[in-house]
Amino acid sequence: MSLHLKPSTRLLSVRDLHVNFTSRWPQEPNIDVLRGVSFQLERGERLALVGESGAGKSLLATSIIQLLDSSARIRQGSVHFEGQDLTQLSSKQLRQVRGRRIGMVFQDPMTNLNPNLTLEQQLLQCILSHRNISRAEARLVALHKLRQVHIPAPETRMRQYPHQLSAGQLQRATIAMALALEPALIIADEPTSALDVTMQAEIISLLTHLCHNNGVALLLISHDLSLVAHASDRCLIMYAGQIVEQGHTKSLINDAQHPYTQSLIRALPQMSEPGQSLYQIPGQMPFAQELGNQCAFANRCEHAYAACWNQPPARTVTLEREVSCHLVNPATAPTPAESEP
Amino acid sequence: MNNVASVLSRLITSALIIILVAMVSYWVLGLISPDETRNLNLAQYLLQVVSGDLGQSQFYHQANLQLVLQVLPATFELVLVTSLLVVLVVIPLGLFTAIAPQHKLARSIMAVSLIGISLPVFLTGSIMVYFFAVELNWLPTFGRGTTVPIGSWQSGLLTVSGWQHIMLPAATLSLALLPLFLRLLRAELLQVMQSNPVRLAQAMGITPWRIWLFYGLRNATLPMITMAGLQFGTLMAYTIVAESLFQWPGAGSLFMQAINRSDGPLVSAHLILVAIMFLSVSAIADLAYGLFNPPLAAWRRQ
Amino acid sequence: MNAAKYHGHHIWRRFRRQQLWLQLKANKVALISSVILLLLTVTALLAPWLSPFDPSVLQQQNIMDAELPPAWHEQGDSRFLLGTDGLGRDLLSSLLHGIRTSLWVGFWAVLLQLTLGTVLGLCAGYFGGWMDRLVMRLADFQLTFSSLMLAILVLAITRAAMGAHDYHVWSPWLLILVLGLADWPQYARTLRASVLAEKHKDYVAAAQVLGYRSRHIMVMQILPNTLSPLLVIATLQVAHVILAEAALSFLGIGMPYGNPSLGGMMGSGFEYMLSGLWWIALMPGIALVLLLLSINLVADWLRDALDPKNIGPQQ
Repeated sequence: MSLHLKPSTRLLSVRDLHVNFTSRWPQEPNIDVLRGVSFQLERGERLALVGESGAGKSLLATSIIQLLDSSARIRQGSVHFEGQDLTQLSSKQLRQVRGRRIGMVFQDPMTNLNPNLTLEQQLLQCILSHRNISRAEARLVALHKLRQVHIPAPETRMRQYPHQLSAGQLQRATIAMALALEPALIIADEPTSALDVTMQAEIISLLTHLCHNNGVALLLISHDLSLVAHASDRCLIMYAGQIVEQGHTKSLINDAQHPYTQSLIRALPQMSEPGQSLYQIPGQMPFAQELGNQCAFANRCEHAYAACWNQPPARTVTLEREVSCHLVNPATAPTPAESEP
Repeated sequence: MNNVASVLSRLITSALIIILVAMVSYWVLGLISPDETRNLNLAQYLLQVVSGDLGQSQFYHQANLQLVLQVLPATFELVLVTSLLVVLVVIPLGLFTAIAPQHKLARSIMAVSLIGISLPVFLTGSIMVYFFAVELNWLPTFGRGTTVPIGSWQSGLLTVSGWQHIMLPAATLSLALLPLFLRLLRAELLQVMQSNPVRLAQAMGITPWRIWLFYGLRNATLPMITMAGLQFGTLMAYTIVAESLFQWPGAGSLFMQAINRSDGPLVSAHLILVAIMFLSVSAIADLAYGLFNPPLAAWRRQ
Repeated sequence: MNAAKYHGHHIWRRFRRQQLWLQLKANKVALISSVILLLLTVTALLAPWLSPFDPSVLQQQNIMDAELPPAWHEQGDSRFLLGTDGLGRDLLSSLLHGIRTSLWVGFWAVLLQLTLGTVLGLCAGYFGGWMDRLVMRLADFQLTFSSLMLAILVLAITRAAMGAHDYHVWSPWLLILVLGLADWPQYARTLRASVLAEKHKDYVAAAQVLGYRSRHIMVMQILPNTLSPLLVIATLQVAHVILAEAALSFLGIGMPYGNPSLGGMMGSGFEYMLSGLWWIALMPGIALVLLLLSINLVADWLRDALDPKNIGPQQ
């Protein structure tokens, strides 16, 4: 199918992915937390995934590499990566993909690194798990990668334990680990949320530059639209387990079409005048089990009208833009009389 | 500097505890053998203790310290072999039952360990004696066999007969400790495997055996050392029971003999030695904890 | 989450909802072990009427009946179902009385522990400060030293001081006292943690505002909320005390020789085991393991059943 059209540049293709949490209580239904997520990622592309907490961003990241909690299950859909469907692989085959082809950077480096192993030991565990080389050679690789992420005095740093390094240095080290095996894709899940504000831009630019220089694709997950605006080619906006809008970052920010994207942009601090109070999106994101047959954003949407409460919006695909909103869909767009509040 | 202060405060509290215990043991001496304290007041007794003189046994007419030091190698070797047995069995079984909790064998191991917790040390000892000594006539049931002197240390670990003799008591003792440590290690491993570092390791495709060894077992070491330190009192009590059961010529047997003979000086000397042993073990446990805990170890180095 | 509805540790409310009973029916192991425990308790209580002989009546003993194997053995005697010991006493009768002794010691010692641990834990948690530090330091020390080791030292020294004969007049009471006073830290720690967690909740503040005195607040408000963890610890401790009593009696510093106790029977039976008479030591051993195992399993199940996280269907 479309995979065969551009086999050389298509790296990751997620199709209609549904992930649910099975309940311990038989009388309770299973809750779909990801509800039909589809997107593509080209080789070397920098893609941002933006949404508020609880939208399912991290779950999407872990379901791409099939590292789900025991209670979560992929109910439907596929994750094609470099020509194979990751949902169909055995755990042994998956291990060949994790770390080697897809590097992972998690949120809080202080809790994600092993407190009882030195940086060197952790990097070596990772490298030696995938490559059949001697410890000395692996050590050279590790040193090289630590230099690439600008850790000062890497020879001494790598003999230290996580608690002896700053959070910024630790996150650089996890980036080095993610890059160590020259993967085709790095998934960075809120890589700067646990860091000082001064550190955030630095880490993001390091990450994007390294990916760009090494031809690595980047899936950058964040709740902060302003942070990823300059660091991504394309952008996915996620709300309540669905991608509501996707397109080129620049055009998306300049011409947002989904009301949720519009509110996100209005809520950016840069968008409000000095002295003016910041815009807040009213209401709260609904829980997955509360969603009936409606648009998930209807309860917070300024433009909501009858159709929004009666059926979930279909995806409207225009040139380089995909939006899931009744307003944008010519078939369901309101008549002028309906759109009057 | 911090380091020196902490060592110093530790030494002072230890000395205070030993003096306190020495006071108690003076009182005990007076209770059991009133004659002994008639010509010896508390201050004199404490002075004696501080200078390393723990008195003379009424039964053996020998210095108490000498007597205990003679039997201590037997107890030490028994505890050593027991600990080795426990570690050698607990680590593979703990890993296995944590890696495959649903496996039939793992489930049966956990079920047996639950029964094992309810098995008193003297019952397993009796049953083993009945099978291996009475029915099969494979192993001896009392004493420690031929010993070889290494300096002033009489070791039973260098002769075949010594190993034959230590088999049953060490197996009995380790069977009493095994279920507890197995359950602890398994629970600890299962908890560690849910932690963030392990999730990152899995996301980076690190080989499972590396994860179990360098993440699971390594990160479970600290809590296990703490637990082992906490179980020292129980180990001492069980050692006394096992030594009396197998007539193992160790400190536990000597203590029970002293009780049965109302040998006041020997009993009170034991009290002080138990306190010293207790303090040293807690110091060793802290040291081991520091050794395996990078933040603590680094703090020590600075 | 639905589980939120069931939060709160109030055990009586849960009894009323029949949660415990329903879960007991669903859990076969727990059901069987609680039935065994119930049977053992009833037979122990009725031991003086159920047992064929009275172990304390010397006239009923005959040295000619000594060392008889169990009745199913070819040399057995139908009068003595489980055989006889070295003095010709019926093992079944001694065993029933032994279980009675074990449960008796276990019950009173745990009651003592519970009282002491509750008072210390409540005080440490509620008053804080030096009282808290002192109690917790003592608890750490006691936990590490272990109650069994403390009991061995105290009882052994008392025996050496009193002489074997005098000692055994007092030893049952001494046993309860020492085991009861030695094993309080677990209760105290649990209670202290619960008190610290509850202390700053609104209802305690409300009670204080209403002018209730601190003792009243502690007992009437906090205690009911910590009942279920205490119940679990107490159940486990009954097994622990019974095990300790058996070990002490085995060493000869527990129950007096005349008083049948499982540990003492095994201690005197060990000599016979060396000459191949396995039943004298093994019969009380089996009874002891059955007792301990059923208590431990019931406690295990209670812990799971009373844990608010686990309310709901079994997986």
